Amino acid sequence: MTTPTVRCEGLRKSYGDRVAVDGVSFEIAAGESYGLLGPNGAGKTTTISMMCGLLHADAGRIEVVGRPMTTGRCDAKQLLGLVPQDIALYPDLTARENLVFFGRLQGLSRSDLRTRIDEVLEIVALEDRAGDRVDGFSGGMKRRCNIAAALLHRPHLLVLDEPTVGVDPQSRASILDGIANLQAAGMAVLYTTHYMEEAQRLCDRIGIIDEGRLVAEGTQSELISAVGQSPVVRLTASGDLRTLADAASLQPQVLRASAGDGRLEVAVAEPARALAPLIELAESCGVAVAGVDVVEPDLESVFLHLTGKALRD
Amino acid sequence: MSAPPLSTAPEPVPPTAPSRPSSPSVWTVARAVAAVDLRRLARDKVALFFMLFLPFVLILALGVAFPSDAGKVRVGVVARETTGVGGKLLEAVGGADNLDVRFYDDDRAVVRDIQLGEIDAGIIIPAGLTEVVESGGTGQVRLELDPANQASAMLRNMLDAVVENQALVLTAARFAENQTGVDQQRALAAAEEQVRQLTRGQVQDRTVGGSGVPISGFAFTALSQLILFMFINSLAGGSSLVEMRTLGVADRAMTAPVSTAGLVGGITMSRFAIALGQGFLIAVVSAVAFGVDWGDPAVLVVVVTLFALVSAGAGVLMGALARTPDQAVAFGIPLALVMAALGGCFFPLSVAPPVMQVVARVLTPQAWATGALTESVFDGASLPDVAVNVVVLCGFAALYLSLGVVLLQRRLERR
Repeated sequence: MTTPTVRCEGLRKSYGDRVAVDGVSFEIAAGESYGLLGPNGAGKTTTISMMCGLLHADAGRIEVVGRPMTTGRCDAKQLLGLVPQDIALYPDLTARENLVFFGRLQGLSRSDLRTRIDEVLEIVALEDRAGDRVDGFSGGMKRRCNIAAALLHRPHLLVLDEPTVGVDPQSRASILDGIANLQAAGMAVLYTTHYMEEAQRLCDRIGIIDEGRLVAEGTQSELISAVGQSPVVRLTASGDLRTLADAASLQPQVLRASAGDGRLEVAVAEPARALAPLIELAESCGVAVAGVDVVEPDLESVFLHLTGKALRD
Repeated sequence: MSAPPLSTAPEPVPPTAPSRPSSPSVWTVARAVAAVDLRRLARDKVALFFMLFLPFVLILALGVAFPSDAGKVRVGVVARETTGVGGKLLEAVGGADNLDVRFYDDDRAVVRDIQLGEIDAGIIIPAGLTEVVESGGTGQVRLELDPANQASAMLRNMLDAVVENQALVLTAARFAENQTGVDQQRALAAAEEQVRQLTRGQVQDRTVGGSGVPISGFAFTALSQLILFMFINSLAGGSSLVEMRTLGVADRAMTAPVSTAGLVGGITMSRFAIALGQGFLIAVVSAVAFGVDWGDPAVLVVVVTLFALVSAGAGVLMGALARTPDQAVAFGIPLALVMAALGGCFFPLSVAPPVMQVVARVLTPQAWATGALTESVFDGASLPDVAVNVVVLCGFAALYLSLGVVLLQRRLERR
C-alpha cells in the first residue's frame, strides 16, 4: 500500500469551551485534489493551520509523506507549500525579491534558488514581471505570485486556502488550470473555496466540514447519491397545481412532487423519461404549462442539505 | 488583457520524498530577514530621512547653537568668600579659558541676567564655605543655570572638582597637623603640594575635556542624537515587524522548516544589525563631518553595541505588542522621545533635579548610555570607569530582549 501524501487522523482543537475542530480525519493521495468545503467558522482554517504546522493540535496526528507535522522545525514542512488566502508577500519588494526571501527560508542554496525562481515564475506566467514590485501587480498577478512562493521548494502537498478570492474570471481560470497541471504532475492538492463551481471542476474528492466535524466525504457523485439528491423537473404553470402534484406523486418514475407559487417541483430518477408523461398529466388536469426546467443536483444542494447553509454564508 | 495561462508542463513530483535542502540555520534566517529589512528600508523614504538625514541636521543645528571652544561661556559670579575654598573656586573659574567671568553683588541680578540671556550661568559662593568644608560638612555653592545650556554640565563638573580637591587638601592638612604636630600653615602647604602631585591637571581636565583634545560644540549633541535615533528608529522599525505579521508573511515563514525561535532570532539579529549600523553611522559621520572626539574607542564600541541590543529588544517588543504598523509608529516615537528626554538626550542629566536623575536611571537605558558616552567624551573616561553603566546596559538589554523575544514568539505561535 502506498503512503498517502498527507494523512490527518482525529484532529481536534478547542479554544476554551469552543471546539473548533472535532476529530477530523482524511487522506490525500499523490496527484489527488481534495476540496475542503464548509461555511465560515466551520473549522477549515483551523484544520489547515494545524496541517501546515502553524497551530498545535490538541489531539490527533498529521503526516506528510509519512513524516509527522509539528509546529516547530520539522522535515514535513519541506514537503508542504501553503498558499494563504491573503497575499502573503511584501508589496514593496519585487516578485523575485519576495521569492528569494521565501526560498532562503526553505533552505535553498543561492544557485538552486536562482534556477528555481525562474522555473516557478514561468509556471505562474510571471517571468516577464520578475523585477516589478508586487504592489504594482493586478489582483490576479498577485495571486499567481502568491502561488509561486509556495512552489519554490517543490512541495509534495500544495495547500490552497481560497486562492481565487477577488480575482477576475480570466485570472481565476488561469489559476485553476495551473493547479490542475500541478496535480497532473503528481502533486497532492488541498483546496478550500467558497466557489462551488471551482470545487466541482478541480477536486477529485470533497470533504464537507461543519461545526468542526467532517460531515461527509467522497467524490461529487458519491456525495450526491449519499444524501439522496435527485434531479428535479420544475414546471412553471397555471391551474390547479395541487391536484396535479397529487396525481404526479402516483406516477411510477416520480419520487415526490410539491406545488406552490405557480410552480410544480417533481423529483425524478430520470428526467428524460419522466418529462413527457408529466406534460401529458398536466394537460389532463387542465394545467397550462408555460415553462419546463430540469435541475440536476449539485454540490451546492448537497452542501445545503448537509449543513443547512449556503456555501457563501 | 487576458490572463496568461499557467505553464502546462510543471515538473513531475516524485512519489516519495527525495533528499531536500537542509533546514536553514538561525544565521541563514537572520541574513534573509535582515536582507529584506534593509531592502525595504532602502525604499522607505520616510525611514531613510529619519536614519540618514534628520540626525545630522539636528547635530548640526544644535551643535551650532551650543557653546563650543570657539565661544566662551558667560558666567556671573557672586563671591562672598574670596579666600580658602572660595578663593580656589574663583581661581579655577577665572583661569578657565572658555569662561567669560562677570562679577555681581546680588544673587537676583545673576538670575535676571540668565533669564535675559545676558549670561549662561551663575555661581554663588557663600560666606563661610571654607569653614564648612574644614569641619567635614558639604559646601553649598549655588549654581544658577539655564537647563537647556550645555555649559551647565561643564560648570557643575568643574565646581565639583574644585570643591572636592579643596576638601581633600584641608582634610590632609588637618590629618598631618594632628599626627605630626606641625603648624597649620606648614601642614596646609605640604598637603597642597601632595594633592597637586596626585591630581595634577584634574581641575583643568574636568573643565575642558580629559582627552586633551578641544571639545567640539557638537560633542554633546552628537552623542545624545546617537542614543536618541538608535532607539527611536528601532521602535518605529517595530512597524515592519507588525507588517510581517499582518501581511501573513510571518505565518508563511512559519510553514518553512524554521523554528519559531530561529525566526524570532533572525528577526532580532536583523533589528540589532540595523540599530548598530545607525549608531556607528552617526558616530563616524559626526567625527568626520563635525570633528567630534568620541574619547575612548572601546567605550564607544561597547556602549553603542549594548545600546543597539537594547534598541533591538525594544523594537522587537514594540513589534510584538502593536496590532498595526501605524500603532507601532504612533506609540513608538512619542515613547522614544519621552525616554530620551528623561535619559538626558535633550539636556545633560546632571542639571536635572536629583529625583529626576534617579527616575531616569531606574527607567531609561538612555541615562546610562548617555552617561557613559558623556564621561568618555568630556572626562576622558575609559572602559573600567564606566563599568557600572556597561553592567546596567547589559541588564536593560537582557530585559528588553527577553521580553521582546518571548512576546513575539507567543504572537507567532498563536497558542
